[in-house]
Amino acid sequence: MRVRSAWVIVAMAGAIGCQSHTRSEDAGPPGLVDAGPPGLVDAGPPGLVDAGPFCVLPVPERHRPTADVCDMTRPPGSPSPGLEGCTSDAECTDGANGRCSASRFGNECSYDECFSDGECGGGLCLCRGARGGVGSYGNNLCVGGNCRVDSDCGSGGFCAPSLGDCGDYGGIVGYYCRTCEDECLNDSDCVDPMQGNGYCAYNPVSARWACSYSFCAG
Amino acid sequence: MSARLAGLALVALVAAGCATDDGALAEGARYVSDADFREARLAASFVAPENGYSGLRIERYGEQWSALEPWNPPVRAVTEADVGAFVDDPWRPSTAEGGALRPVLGELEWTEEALLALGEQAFERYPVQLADTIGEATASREALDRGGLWVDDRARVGGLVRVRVADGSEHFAVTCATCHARTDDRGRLVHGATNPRFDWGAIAYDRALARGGDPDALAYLLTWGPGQVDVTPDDADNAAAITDLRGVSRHRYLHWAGTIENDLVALALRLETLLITSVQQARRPPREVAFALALYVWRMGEGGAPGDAASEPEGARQFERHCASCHGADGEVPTPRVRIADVGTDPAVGESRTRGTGFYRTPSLWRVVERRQLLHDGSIESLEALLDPARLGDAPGHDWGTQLDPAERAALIRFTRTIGAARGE
Repeated sequence: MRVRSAWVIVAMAGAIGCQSHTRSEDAGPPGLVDAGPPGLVDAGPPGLVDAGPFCVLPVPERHRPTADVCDMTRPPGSPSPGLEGCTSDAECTDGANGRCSASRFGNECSYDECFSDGECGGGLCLCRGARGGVGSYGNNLCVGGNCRVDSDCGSGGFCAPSLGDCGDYGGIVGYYCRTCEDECLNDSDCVDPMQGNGYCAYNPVSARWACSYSFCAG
Repeated sequence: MSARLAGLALVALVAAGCATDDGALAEGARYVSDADFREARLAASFVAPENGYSGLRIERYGEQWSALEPWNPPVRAVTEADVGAFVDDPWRPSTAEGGALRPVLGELEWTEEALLALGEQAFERYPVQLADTIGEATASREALDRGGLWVDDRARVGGLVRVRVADGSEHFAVTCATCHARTDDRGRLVHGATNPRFDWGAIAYDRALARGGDPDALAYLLTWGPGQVDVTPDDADNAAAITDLRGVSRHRYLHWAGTIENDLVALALRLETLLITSVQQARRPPREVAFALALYVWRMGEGGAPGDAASEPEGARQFERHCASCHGADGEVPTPRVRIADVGTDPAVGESRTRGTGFYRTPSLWRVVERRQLLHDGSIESLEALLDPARLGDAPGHDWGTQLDPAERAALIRFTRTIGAARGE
């Protein structure tokens, strides 16, 4: 199995050509007072809600100091002539910024799910083109986790993006607080001669960040 | 009573006369209670200790993984009522309460019946790996169908469960039944049978593409194909066929490349370590769950009879000439593994730096009639296709039996279908 080739390309595209796609606000994320990220209000890892981590956390390469508000513009879709389904963006009217693009099953419509965190229930809004996030031609989408910004993780805490299980298909799956029990800080900490190149990800099973390798169960 | 004393008591109880005829329960009791036994059997089972799969286990099983906390979380099965329910809020807690597997050590009777019941439960409910990617394929009936996820006559979906984890969040997870079960023509779930339609790679591709991924860079996911999964972190495109588990007790080796010498304890260790690596070494399964699952799988496919030479004499003769040196008509495997170059099929799985040994195992043909894909990569759909010389251009390798004339070929296929089948099937 190949590891992360697709998302290296997406991240590079995001870094090179997409600087204008997001802008940050200093006022803090909307909606946080009402709901909060899942798992944070009810339980949360120890030391998370009130006083911050009971250790001095090193700064991870990626974290979210403030909330993003996504750019409202979206590049045009890329339908493939001759495929079934939509033929132009104008036919995609069931949501915001509908775009018609080719998939394995024909041309399909996709929509921006959000433009700001407050539209994502308990989660946050991952902007198209954000570094390491959704590729330039994807849609803004809501992702989960247990935080939205660093301050959600207490004083000195960091809210960081995590890839998912069984390899990093689909990019960022959520944002999670770094913890005092983390076993890795960055992807570069996760190289194992017997398991190949891994990545540092939040493991919900142990509620801490740890190295993840591209094992699909089998 | 401490866990160790409980384990020793268990061994004594079994030794006092509660073992099955084949000693399975006694082996299981030692596996659960004796760390030295487990480590010795693990080390002895590896055919190629230098490959990545084996080396990882040799290095970590004894001290590091044995110290992991056992994991038996609350789960509930995903059903048809859940289809589309998580689209707008994938992280919402389930409204239906789920429970952990029961009974476990301290409550579990160490009998064949109780262990098989626990194993069956684990097969359908124990979370093998968190898989919210797969969970997205429950967005609609169309998505289920695209992903090859079954819906059975009890309205359960694809062997998926919702599991609550340490931080209080809920996630989708796959179970054994996701890959190793399918429905029959009445919708009843058949444990052990490969799900030949399940397409993990395509589900992952669709999800990544929808998030703006590069189609060319993601195309490798589509090389897996239905019924196949790439499970090795070796930076190679080498998806392997999902194995039909019925008759696994007759395989001399586990894994297509024959990484492990097979016996019941080796299978339990293989399943235990699978469940450990699938959660990225964060937890381990309770050992009684791992053994119960192994025993349940071990007993799959029992019943049936050896190849019926009386009703298919010509086929039996052809089998003896072209197949029997490797595949016994009784389901055994006289030649348990074959060099990759000799079998001539795609070498990528057998040469993997993770699980490769330089060989492919010879599978038992017990109940081969029920398999939907043949060879290590699932590239052949049927015995007819396997023995058809016309396929050798596109799917080379394993050319034994392809030189027969049509009548001889048909006789051979009729006979081979009887191996492991019940008489009259």
